[in-house]
Amino acid sequence: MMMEVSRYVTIGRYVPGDSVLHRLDPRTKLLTFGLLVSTLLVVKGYVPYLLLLGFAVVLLLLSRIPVRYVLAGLRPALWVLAILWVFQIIFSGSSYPDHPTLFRLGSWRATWGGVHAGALNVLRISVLYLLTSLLTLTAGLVELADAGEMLLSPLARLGVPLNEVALVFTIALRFVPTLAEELERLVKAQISRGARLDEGGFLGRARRLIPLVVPLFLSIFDRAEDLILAMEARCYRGGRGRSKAVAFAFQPLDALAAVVVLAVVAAAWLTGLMLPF
Amino acid sequence: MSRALIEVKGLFHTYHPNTPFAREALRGVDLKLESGQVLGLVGPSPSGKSTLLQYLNGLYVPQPDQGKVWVLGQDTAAPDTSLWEIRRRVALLFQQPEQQLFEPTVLRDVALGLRNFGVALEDELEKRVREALERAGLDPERVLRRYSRTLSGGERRRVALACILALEPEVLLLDDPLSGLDPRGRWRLLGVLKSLAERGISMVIASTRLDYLIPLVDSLAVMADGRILAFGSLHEVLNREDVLRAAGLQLPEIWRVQQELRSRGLPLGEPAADPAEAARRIARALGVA
Ligand SMILES: Nc1ncnc2c1ncn2[C@@H]1O[C@H](COP(=O)(O)OP(=O)(O)OP(=O)(O)O)[C@@H](O)[C@H]1O
Ligand SMILES: [Mg+2]
Repeated sequence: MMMEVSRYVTIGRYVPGDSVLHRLDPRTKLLTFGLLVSTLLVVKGYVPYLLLLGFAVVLLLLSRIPVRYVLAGLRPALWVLAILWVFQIIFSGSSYPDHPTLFRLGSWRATWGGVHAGALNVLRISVLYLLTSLLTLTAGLVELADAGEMLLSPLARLGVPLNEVALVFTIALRFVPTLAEELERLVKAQISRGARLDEGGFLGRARRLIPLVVPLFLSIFDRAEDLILAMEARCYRGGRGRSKAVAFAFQPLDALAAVVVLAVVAAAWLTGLMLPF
Repeated sequence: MSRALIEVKGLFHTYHPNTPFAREALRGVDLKLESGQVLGLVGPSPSGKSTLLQYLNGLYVPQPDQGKVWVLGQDTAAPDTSLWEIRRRVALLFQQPEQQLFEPTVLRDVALGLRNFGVALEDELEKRVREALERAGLDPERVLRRYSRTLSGGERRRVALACILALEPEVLLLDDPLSGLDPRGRWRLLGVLKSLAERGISMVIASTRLDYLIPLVDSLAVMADGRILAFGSLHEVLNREDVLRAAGLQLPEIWRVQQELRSRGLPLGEPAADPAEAARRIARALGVA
């Protein structure tokens, strides 16, 4: 139900804990995450994707974060994924001219190629969602921002304002759940004052969401203003010379994680190259 | 069977259930509001007051095994209950007035509910809005065309109140309506609420403070930690010192003075909330007047 949207927003939330995943150095988390995601984007095929999906599930179990919670976050996206799949099937004719026709819809031609491409995409996005959730659920945002800044520190010499960039990303991610809470508040207030947001067909409902958009943006600007004031009040100037609250140190665990992830990535590459489906 | 205006039985609520952020806000609440009654809902922060009020406004509906809520005699979880109808007749003033205002101008904001609920014709909208603003203690001429977002906190609260007064509801649910007002604003709002109560409008008023509630309410429910610790007439509950202490609530000084005098043998009746009335009784008991 609309009144509980924030319950389904898992991105940008952090669940403190002391699992293996939580204990990894945030730099390790970021690097391995980057490696897995780039593999996911480059490699293509059922076998490597299922392999990566299996690996993501193992990580999820290791993180000791309730599986149902993470999957609940995927639920609202299922519709989008399903529609995406249908579109890829219907509009696949021109991409696979030599594939036999499954069925026709007006001038469009559905093919098996489209079915496969769509299925692969759904798999890929699911794995991507799982990995991203795991990253933010097991690492504090400040931790991640600091780690990102350190990893990219060579760029600082080229004059890239890394601290600021890291800060922007941190705030953007942290604002996702805030946004959901804000939306929840607005929806409640509107419904309480007689708006019929939860009734009518799909189109009617979509149209009724429009009055929510402007107030939502206004309240985001308010939040941003508060944030600016808070930072100014604490004399935040960003950049050079700031020391970190926590110093990171690589542990043997990080080496182990790196080896395991490299093995999985290599397996995904190899199966992607050698198994042609 | 005729039911009370509002009745709550064994109500439980958990925010974000089945997640690592799960939080129990209500743990078995029973409550009753009779027609024409003003009920104070008092408890520390947080004790579940706002959550409970949202159930009474039909914003939340109990899950099948999490209790029952009847509003205006209707089970809010029943499929044929019109929650929309309930929201018009049992209006909620949210704890943060900012939460309730989203139209550009005050006029449009107050008119929004009137339009949504279809309670006023287009050409009498402005008249209704002006009346509601006046009843909420604002000067319509001065605020009608202002941008809601440029109002002060106290003004916003009164506009939010006007929004729901305009609907002429049968029951008012007020979530901490007196916080954030200056003494005069508080005094004025208390006056507004008193006159509404005299006209037979029922109310549930949530607050963290007893002293504001005492002059206004007939009955009192003390909440702590998602439970109702005591529920009964004002005097009944105020005499339950154990409960008040458990909920960390303080009686107003004028009340405590009368209790002390009584325990020292002065023949006073039940304490009075109004200082002038209390002084009169004490004087009478001392044989001065
Ligand atoms: N929208 C929400 N999402 C998640 N948790 C919530 C939400 N609203 C309230 N809670 C939690 O539910 C509990 C009860 O909150 P509630 O707002 O009902 O208390 P309250 O008595 O109104 O407090 P206050 O006096 O501060 O207004 C709190 O622990 C709070 O953190
Ligand atoms: Mg509250």
